[in-house]
Order: sequence, then structure tokens, then C-alpha cells
Amino acid sequence: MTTCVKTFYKKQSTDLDYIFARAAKYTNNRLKHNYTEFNQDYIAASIVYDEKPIAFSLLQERDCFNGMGRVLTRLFYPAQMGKGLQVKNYKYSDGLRPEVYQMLDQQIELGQKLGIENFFMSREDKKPLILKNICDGMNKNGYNWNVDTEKKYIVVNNTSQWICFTGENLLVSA
Amino acid sequence: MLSPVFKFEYKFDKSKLLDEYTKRLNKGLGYRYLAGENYEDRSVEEKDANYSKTTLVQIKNGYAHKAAKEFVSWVGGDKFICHYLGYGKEDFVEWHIDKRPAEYCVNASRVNVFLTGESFTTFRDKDHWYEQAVVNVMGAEHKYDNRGLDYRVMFQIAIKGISHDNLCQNILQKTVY
Repeated sequence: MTTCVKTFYKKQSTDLDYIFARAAKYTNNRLKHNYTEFNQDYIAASIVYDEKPIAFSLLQERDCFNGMGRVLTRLFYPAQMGKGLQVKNYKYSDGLRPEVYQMLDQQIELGQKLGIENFFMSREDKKPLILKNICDGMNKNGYNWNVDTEKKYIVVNNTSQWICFTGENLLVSA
Repeated sequence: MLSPVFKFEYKFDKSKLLDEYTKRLNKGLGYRYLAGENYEDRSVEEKDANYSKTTLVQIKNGYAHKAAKEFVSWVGGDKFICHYLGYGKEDFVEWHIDKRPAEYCVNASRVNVFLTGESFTTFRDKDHWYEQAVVNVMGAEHKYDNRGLDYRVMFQIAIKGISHDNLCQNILQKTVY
């Protein structure tokens, strides 16, 4: 598979519309509703192409982020299938798929051009274990991110999530 | 009740703020804020906008956000939002009282900073000229007509939890004593 990742500031994009629609219908996507009639503001979008768009995520800003940028928002990247069509297992603690790192790097680069210095990603799991593993995996691959396994942070209205971040954490804890 | 426009001294880096506006606009991060026949009638086509035409750039991070945060902290506030409003040669907004967002229109205040030189806001009594001021846009009807005038860019900070009068008093105390 030869893939490439392109990140661009917010604009009309038929590729983004296509991959959003795919995510909203994708059988194994347990958060389909997050991709239906999406009308939230965002700064930039990253799309992974393998000829066609196959994955995407957004760089987002909100008032409650207190100046931080949220990377990999609405990340949709279906798992690769094995020969027998079984889904390949990934261990987050070993690191993320290369295209995810490319999305991450490109989103940070575009965010920095707007003066954003601090970035985070968030998940709404019951426990912080997955995010901790993701953070560990990233740091094994040359990143220097932090994870807070003690507190959730407000990332939308009155909803809190687990976060890992780089730079200063300016979010408000729940 | 104080005047709807209370001018004050504060060193905003207007050149840097204006650069930020231009940068974001060039990256496609602004949008036209258009209203048809009245204040509530938004999101119409450019040609159908009879109530208001402006360009809005929301700010949630970067230099301008930091500058606003510093200012809000200086006046004793905490929660705020900020954005730019750009007016081209055919832009205007008819008589209105600001009602959005609701949580920033009750027990709240607005600070306007013109980045393209001194300008004015029209209230029922007269045109009020200023470069930067606390402006009571939630408490009194006002309008602005930029048709035939030069391009105008304004940086606006909305502060929650401090009323117009209280913000004016806070600034007076900071600058007089």
C-alpha cells in the first residue's frame, strides 16, 4: 500500500465529504454518530490517500481549549485487514501507524503557523489506559508528549475527556 | 449609566493584531457574516444581505488570543471570547443590539479595538469616535455603515462576568490611581 497524507486549512473538499460519509456508514465504526451531519468548526483537515481517501482527522480549536489546538480530532482510520480478512491487531504502546504520525506532524505545523504553541488529543474512554498506551507508543517513536492519568479535562461544553498533550496544558480539569 | 463608549489607554500591538487578521483571512479561516432583512436572518447570500455584511474571523488561540487574555486579566476578568470584524467598502450593519452569544450578553461587556486607525460606532445620540473603548453594544442600539469608506478592521473582546459599567470603573481605577 502506497499512501500519502495531505493536510490543508479549512476549505470545501469533496474528498473530506467523501471520507466523512464513509466513516458515518462504516460497519465497524462504533462512533458513527460523530460523523453524521458534522458541522463543527475546525482549522485544518488531514486526509490519508491510497488513491482514494481512506482516513482523516481534524485540527480543531474551541473556546474551552484556552488557546490549545486539538489534533487528530474525529480520527477515522479503519484497521487493516489480514489475508483471512481478520482485523490486524495493533498495540498502541508500540506506536501508531505511520500515517497517523504524519497527520499529527502536519497538523501541528499548520497550527504553529497560526501561533498555537500547545496541542492535545483526547478520548472519551472510561479509563485513561488506552491514551496512556498511545502516549507511551508515541514517546517510543521520538515524541515527547505527556499524559494525565489522574484527571479528565473539559473539551466540549460540560463534557470531559482524558487527554495527552505537548507543551503546556491549559485545559480546565473536570 | 455611563456613556455607551468609554475610551481608555492600553498598549495593544495593533500592527501585530492586524497581521494576524490578514494571515487568518488568507488561510481561509474567516467567513462572511450576512443577514437578510433583520438581526436574526443570517446566513443569506451576499446579494440578499440587506441587514448586515461583515467579515468575521474568530480567534481561539495564537497571538491575538494571548493579547486578549492578558488584557482581560488586567481588567480583573477571566472568561472571554474574541474575534475580528472586517468591513469592506460595501459593508454595513443596521441598527441592532448585540444578543449573541447569549452567555456573553448578560452581565458582560465588550471592548472594541480598531486596527486600521480611529473610527466610530453610531449610537442614537451621535457617532462615537475612538481607537479603543469599552462599548455598550449589548445595552444600546447602534449601527455602522462603511459604504464608501476605507477598509476597517476591528478586534473585539467579549468579557463574561463584568458589566459595561463595572468594566469602565475597573479600567478607571487602573489608569487613574
